[in-house]
Amino acid sequence: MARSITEPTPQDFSAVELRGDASVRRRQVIARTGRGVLFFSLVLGLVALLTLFLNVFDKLGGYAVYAFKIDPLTITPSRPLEELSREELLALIEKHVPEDAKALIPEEYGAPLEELSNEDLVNILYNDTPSPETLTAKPLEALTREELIEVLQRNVTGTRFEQLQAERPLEQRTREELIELVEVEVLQRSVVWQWTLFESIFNRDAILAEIASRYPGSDYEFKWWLTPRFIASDQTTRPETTGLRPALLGSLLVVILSILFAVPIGVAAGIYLEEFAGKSRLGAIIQTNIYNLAGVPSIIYGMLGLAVFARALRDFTTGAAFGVPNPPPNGRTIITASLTMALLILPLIIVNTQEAIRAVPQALRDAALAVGATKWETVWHHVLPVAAPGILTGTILATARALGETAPLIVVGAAAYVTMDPQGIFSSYTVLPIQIYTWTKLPEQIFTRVASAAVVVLLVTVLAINLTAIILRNRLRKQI
Amino acid sequence: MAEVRFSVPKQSSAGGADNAVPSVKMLLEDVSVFYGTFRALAGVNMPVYEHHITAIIGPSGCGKSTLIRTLNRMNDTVDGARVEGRVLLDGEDIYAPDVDPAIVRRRVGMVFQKPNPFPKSIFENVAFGIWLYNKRISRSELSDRVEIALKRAALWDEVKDKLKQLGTSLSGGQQQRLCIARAIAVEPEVLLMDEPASALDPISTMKIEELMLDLKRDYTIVIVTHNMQQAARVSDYTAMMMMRPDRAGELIEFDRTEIIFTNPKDKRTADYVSGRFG
Amino acid sequence: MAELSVAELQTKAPSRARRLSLRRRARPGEAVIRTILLGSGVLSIFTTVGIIVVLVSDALGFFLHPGVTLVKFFTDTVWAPEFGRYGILPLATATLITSLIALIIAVPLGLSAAIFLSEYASPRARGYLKPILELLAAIPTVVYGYFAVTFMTPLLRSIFGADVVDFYNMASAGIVMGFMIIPLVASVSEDALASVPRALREAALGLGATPLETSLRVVVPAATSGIAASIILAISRAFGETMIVLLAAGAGPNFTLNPFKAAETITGHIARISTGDISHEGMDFYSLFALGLVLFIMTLTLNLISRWFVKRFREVY
Repeated sequence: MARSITEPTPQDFSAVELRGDASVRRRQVIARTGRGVLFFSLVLGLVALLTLFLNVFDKLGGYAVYAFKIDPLTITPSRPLEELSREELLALIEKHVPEDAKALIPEEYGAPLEELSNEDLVNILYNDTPSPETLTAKPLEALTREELIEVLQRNVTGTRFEQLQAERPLEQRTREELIELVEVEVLQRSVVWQWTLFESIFNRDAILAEIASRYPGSDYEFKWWLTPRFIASDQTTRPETTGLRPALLGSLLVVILSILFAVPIGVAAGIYLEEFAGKSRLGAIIQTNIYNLAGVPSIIYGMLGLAVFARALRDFTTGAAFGVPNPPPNGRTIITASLTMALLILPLIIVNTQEAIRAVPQALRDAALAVGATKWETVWHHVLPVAAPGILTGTILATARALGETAPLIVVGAAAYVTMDPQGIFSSYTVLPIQIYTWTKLPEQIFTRVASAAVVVLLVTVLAINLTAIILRNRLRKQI
Repeated sequence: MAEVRFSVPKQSSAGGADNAVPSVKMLLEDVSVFYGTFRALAGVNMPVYEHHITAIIGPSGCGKSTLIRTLNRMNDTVDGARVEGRVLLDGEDIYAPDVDPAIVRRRVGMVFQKPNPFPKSIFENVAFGIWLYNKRISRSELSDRVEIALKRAALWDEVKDKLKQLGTSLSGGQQQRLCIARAIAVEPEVLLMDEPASALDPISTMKIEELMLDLKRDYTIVIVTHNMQQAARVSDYTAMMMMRPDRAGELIEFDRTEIIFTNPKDKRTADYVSGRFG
Repeated sequence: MAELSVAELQTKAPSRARRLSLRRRARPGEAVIRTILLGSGVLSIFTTVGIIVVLVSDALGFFLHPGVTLVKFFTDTVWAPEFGRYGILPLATATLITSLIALIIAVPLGLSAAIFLSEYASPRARGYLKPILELLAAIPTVVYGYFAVTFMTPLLRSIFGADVVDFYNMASAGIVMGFMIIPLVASVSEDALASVPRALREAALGLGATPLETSLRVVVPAATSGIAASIILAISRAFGETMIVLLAAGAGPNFTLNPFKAAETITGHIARISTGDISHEGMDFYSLFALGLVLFIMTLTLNLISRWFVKRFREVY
């Protein structure tokens, strides 16, 4: 509609036009609602992830009720009934033989209790008490330190006893610590039920009441799973005694080795692609290839590692070729895992190196070339030092990735149950995420609580590493 | 189609030359530069006289920078760049297949439009080039040569107490003189300067110009400039470039600077130097 | 301009010992370094070649076995290598169902988050949200698996009843996998949306469109191929994801379309079988590589399509 250009009159800007008619208002309502929906989905996503974190923390501790799997009196020192005096035998009968059984004694033995021989009294005890062997046993609390140590030595396996000695010599432990050790190791004091952390915090009174009614007289406490003992202990088959140490050391070794393999090669490949390949056909092929590798599922890397490192190169990856005795079966060694992981993080390191090198200003290269430096001298003396922090960021990200990756190591064969520290690069091993997987998959529910402690360790480490990288990168961006 | 509008004097042997016809340090013979399929420079023929300053002038986008970067093979760093024709340095083609571009750049140094010191100390900035071709140099000799270069670039007095500071911490004008010191520290024969003062304030510009006149005694200098006054003030010879309709740059006139600025043969040169366009 | 005599020039010229010859110098060190750099680049090609050779050769050990035919491989509904039944269908359907559930969760949420981030959030809010997104993308998948088993499965069982929902079930794995993929969809789509030129938005706003109309009718269509790339990438990630399905979806092949039933995916099966002390020969072992090959082909195809979309998108802007 053509209008002649005149000075606008006040009516042209009337309130009606600016607010719009009904259809415009409807559009605005839709727009606001739409915005709300978008915002809501963002919040929903964040809430879902917050739930994830809370769920892990919820499993980390709470009120736990314990029970002994074994009667303490069966393992403490006791005297044979035959050696007891008549008074002691009568006292035991008085205390332990049920009243109805007592009433039948004269009929059975043909004489009242007081007139029976010691031999008969012993027989009564054997026949009419539920566990005659424990009648003379001392309660645990009455034992001396030496007796406690002896009890331990008699009742745990030799290797476990050595493990405990290695953690801290038993002679140096207090009596209370020894009693606890006997309770946990020998009597298998185990958690029969545990409430979650939030229940335990917000529902404390109800829980205490329930303990009193459902588990009268039993022993309970607020139990945390993530303890220094847990971090530092060897793995065992019981949730109360198991630890993270072999997995932590395994993860540390695998991550360090895979970084050592992958970083030099990845950085070199990144330099080649950015500085030397130019627009060559080979460069383009390698580049496409790297993008594709970055999208290959991690489990496929596991299969590659299985076929190449664990099977074809087994003699090398188990150290058999170097005369290492007792190699683990099927090439399931730290070195196999590290090589597999190195291939997996290689594309990540290459791409990050390329980005870091690309961010170096061309002017810097020109400056070095103009004083007669060769391409490599330019790269080595001037491009790499400037790109180093960016490359470091990429390496840190790759470290976090290598730490959290699980599937390929399952395939190349991280062992689920490794009680001892890895002994070197040809040793069998377990790693943190595998340990989480194993514990979560176990049928005993209480192991998911153990797993939560491992999850927290893994999550905190991985997120801290990533946060470092993000902060480092944001600083770099500000500098350039 | 560029035609040769001047006669190139035969290169005279050292000692036997007369002042009127200086010896030719570099010679461009029918030089064309392509970026991929795009022709950036078309058939340039031009001499660079020893111990003189040659200015390259012309409107934006006419290929001045491309031309100067052809003189020390800096264009090699651009993907898909290709040079046709010959660029002679003391009679040798620097684009011959067996020539080492690093050594070309060693002999033909360059100072860039924007100061680009290394993010390292002032000392290291100057020392790097020296060290590259003499890795067993003693520390004291290296210091001497750094000092000579910084003095030559008229920067010594300003930085002698802070040689360990970052080169990037200097002011723009100082940075550019540092870059000049870095370039002359390796004792090149030719010094290329691509608009060396365009990013600087007038006082720094003046210092750089004085420096060029001083350096002329020892070096052959080629300078690209946008600034007519600067070309007139410092240069002995001037090359005038224009962009052809196909956007390739061509050399339209080359002569002694006073002739270009007072009595050019080409009308476009006259229009340009008098500020009627560009 | 006073000119100096040649004699004067020569006395003032710095002493140059001799002119460097322009001839190429032998730089053996650099040749070695260049070879190393090139070799490192080429190594990545060997990785791909290695993957293909390993998968194909061991898968051939499977397919050439008497009793295995391609037709049966793709049509039999039972996977039980110990009884000579090699039908990939139960594993494939489980992979498809878990991935489908994951996409139903991840695509709307991730896309909405991306639109909100690029079109509505203030630069300050974006500055906080984008790193959070990155952090979330870095959470190890085994943690998501733990979450599925200890939170999502009990939740689903309490909502729908423990008799309806198996302890291991595809729904739980799929939903949690969806959460895992949200950051991927969000960040790739956000990149696409952010690179739509400002002018296009301003043109739409200038015509009187509301911000929602601008983003849904102008910006999102303009970024379609980028968004498509993010969704395809998400599918590929879901197909290849292992830990969540291994922990939560089931521990045995099961041909069912009911998401509340337990069923094992391709990845889950590969991982579970190789956990045991599997011998490095025999049909069990080779069959894993046949499955791996199928998985590799599927994800590679999806990745190539996704890159094609990204490329097309880059060409437009």
